[in-house]
Amino acid sequence: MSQKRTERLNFIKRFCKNKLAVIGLVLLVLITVTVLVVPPLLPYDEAEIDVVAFSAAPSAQHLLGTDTTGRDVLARLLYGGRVSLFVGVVSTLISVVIGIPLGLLAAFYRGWFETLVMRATDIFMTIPSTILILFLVSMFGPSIVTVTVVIGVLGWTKFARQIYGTVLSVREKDYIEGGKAIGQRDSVIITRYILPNAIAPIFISITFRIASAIILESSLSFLGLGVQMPAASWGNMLYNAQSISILKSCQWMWLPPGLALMVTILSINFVGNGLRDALDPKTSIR
Amino acid sequence: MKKKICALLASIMVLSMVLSGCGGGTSTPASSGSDSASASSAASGAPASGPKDEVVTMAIISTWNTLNIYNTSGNYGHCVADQMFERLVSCTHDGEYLPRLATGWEMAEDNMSMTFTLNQDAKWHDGEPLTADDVVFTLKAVTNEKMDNYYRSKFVSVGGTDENGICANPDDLQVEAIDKYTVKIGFSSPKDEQTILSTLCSFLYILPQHILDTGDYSSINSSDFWSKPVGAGPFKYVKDTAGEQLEMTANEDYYLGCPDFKTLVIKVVPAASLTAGLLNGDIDVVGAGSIPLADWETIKASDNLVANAITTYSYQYMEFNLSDNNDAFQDPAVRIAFDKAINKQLMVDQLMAGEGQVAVGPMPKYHPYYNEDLVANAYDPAAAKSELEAAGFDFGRTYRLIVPQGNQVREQSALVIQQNLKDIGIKVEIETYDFATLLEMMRNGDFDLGLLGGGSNIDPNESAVIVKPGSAQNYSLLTDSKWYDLAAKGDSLVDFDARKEAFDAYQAALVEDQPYIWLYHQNNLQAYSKRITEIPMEDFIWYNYEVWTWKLA
Repeated sequence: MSQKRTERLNFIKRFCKNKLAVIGLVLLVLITVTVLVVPPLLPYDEAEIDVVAFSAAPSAQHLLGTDTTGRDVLARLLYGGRVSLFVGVVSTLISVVIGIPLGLLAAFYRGWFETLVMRATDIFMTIPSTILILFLVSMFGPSIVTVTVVIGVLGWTKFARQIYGTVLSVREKDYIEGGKAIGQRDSVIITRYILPNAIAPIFISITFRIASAIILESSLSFLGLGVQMPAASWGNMLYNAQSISILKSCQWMWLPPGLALMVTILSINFVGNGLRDALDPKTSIR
Repeated sequence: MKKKICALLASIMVLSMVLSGCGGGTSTPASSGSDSASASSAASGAPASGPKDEVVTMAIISTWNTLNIYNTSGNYGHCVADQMFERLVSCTHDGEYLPRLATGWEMAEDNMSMTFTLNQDAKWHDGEPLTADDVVFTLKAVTNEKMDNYYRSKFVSVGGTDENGICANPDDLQVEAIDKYTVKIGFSSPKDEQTILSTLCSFLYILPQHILDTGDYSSINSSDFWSKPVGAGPFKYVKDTAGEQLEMTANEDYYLGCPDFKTLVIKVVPAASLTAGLLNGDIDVVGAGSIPLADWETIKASDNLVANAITTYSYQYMEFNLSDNNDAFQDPAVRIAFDKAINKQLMVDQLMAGEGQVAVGPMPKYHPYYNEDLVANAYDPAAAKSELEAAGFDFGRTYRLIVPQGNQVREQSALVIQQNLKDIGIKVEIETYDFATLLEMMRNGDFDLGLLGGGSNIDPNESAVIVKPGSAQNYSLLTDSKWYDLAAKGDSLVDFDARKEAFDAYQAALVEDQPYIWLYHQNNLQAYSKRITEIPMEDFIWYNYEVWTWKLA
């Protein structure tokens, strides 16, 4: 019991040593809390049109100005943040839920199931994922749900391969042999002996996958195939600000979503790096 | 530690060498390419007189698909066809017809035929004379079922064709060459001169009989001719990148005058990139497509560009699902209340920066057939709400508004409509789709409200197809033919005053019942470089370019 606690303390200590990771975590928490709590308190919602202020510069009325349709940029930024974070987190969860069991079972049982799963990942990885996503999204019709599901379903291979590799080495360990020898059921061996010892590296991948899913959603929205109007996402806010004149003279329309996207992705990546260093002391000897 | 830094430096050096190596590799072929291009243009040499050895680039926002004008869908093919092929007449912005291949035309007294006199100097690009036989051959080909023709419906007025514009036996088609340069075209019923000129003559590009006449009209579709067309227009085909860029050279023997410059390039440029292209000189003129509104101020402020907001005859409308299995909008009172609830002036003022007009009916105020007595429903949300309540409208459910992707102002107007209706307590959900999917959904009645636009020519009967029960373009699926009957009556008349009266009644009925809500007429925002002194940009809306009149500064 006490050993577990010191292990955890060590982990936190190592994580905190990485200043960038801590800053990233703080920013992430801030962003998440802001997009979840603040929007209902705003005087405008994301689709509401202010008929007297189209393309208006920031003012007391609209802190970040309005877009070309007269909608409050601040409101759209925060609602858009919800969408971006939702797509990032939920699609990654979908990938994990599909990928982890498949990879784990493939490595544990080997045989035909292993061949099936691993060749399937090979096939999936040879298809250019962006094109496949574009195809699927246009087939099922662009919406938050389709985009999330498609990004999630196509992301399982990475998790499957990663856990497969780890489990292959773990399953040969003596304590697994021991478990088998005392007659434990497979389900117990997998959940109690293997999973806890193979799951740590997955957390790092999860953070990076969330970041890339958010970018994917933004690119889809930027191409007009992501989240549909009137709902906002950081990607479609950028999409609506493509013209030279807006880029030159209406910075309030594209700078906030661009910065928000950049800060969020950076923060997630910093946290990922921090996690990796903290979980694997070998890589961060100073 | 030192080792690490050395390794780092070494790797940076290797990387930079690789990168610079790449740069050198790509730049060499590029420079040699431009050398050979300038060498070839020097070799061909500019003649002492004739066109100046300069390139003018015209941008259009969507592709022409194929050089076979009769087989393209959409209007962008006209931008290309107008340069290489000849039409009988050319149309100005206001619907006035000027001679082009035809030097004159005369309507018979019974309005059952029209005689065209052709310009005797017209020659095909291969030197053969263009004669009345070519016109007869072309009309027989385009009304023949064996030849693909996207614009077939434009030829229904020619005598001998059925209601789809198809003539079963070419010998029965009422077109004849009276002499080498005179053609007579007969009609199925008495026709107004303007109708014939605006529909039939605007879509009839004359094809060369001496090349295409094999005795089998189906051979025209797959002929090699279309990969390197021989026309009679002001420009000759040089080369093209399929559907993206087309290079043509001046036809020095053009019978209406040799163009002022040697090379005309037409290329496809997305609307969002038009402004950058115009500003940095890649584009000299926008041929088809409107400059994004957000860029309009920038364009107007530029010293090197001439900017023009051009009124058009296009109209945008919102349709109701009026099919038998949707009873939400069958009551005209409901539709009129919707009309009152929508703030069209806001769309024009804010979404179009004033570059447009609020629509009352399908025809704008400057249309020759516009009914001056029309009274538009004023924007009055309070009245709309009480009228809807009185009509027993169902406020409880959510209505689906489907909107095609691509037209930014239209997408924004959907948001305004959603907001306007929300203000009077109607819940609307917007769904956007690509055009093909959207039209399919409309045909299947899979919608409540929808946004579309129209207005391809100046004929007052143009909008009648959308109120014709059973027509493929009747996207509201309405079943009452009373509006169409009014338009059909006008179309059957030949005297302007009588026609005007009939179409006045048609417009009044459209306003009275609002089978569609007419939203706005948007101006085309166009610009060209001051490199060229004068361009008749207003006529571009009918795809008449008159490039041979453009003069370089």
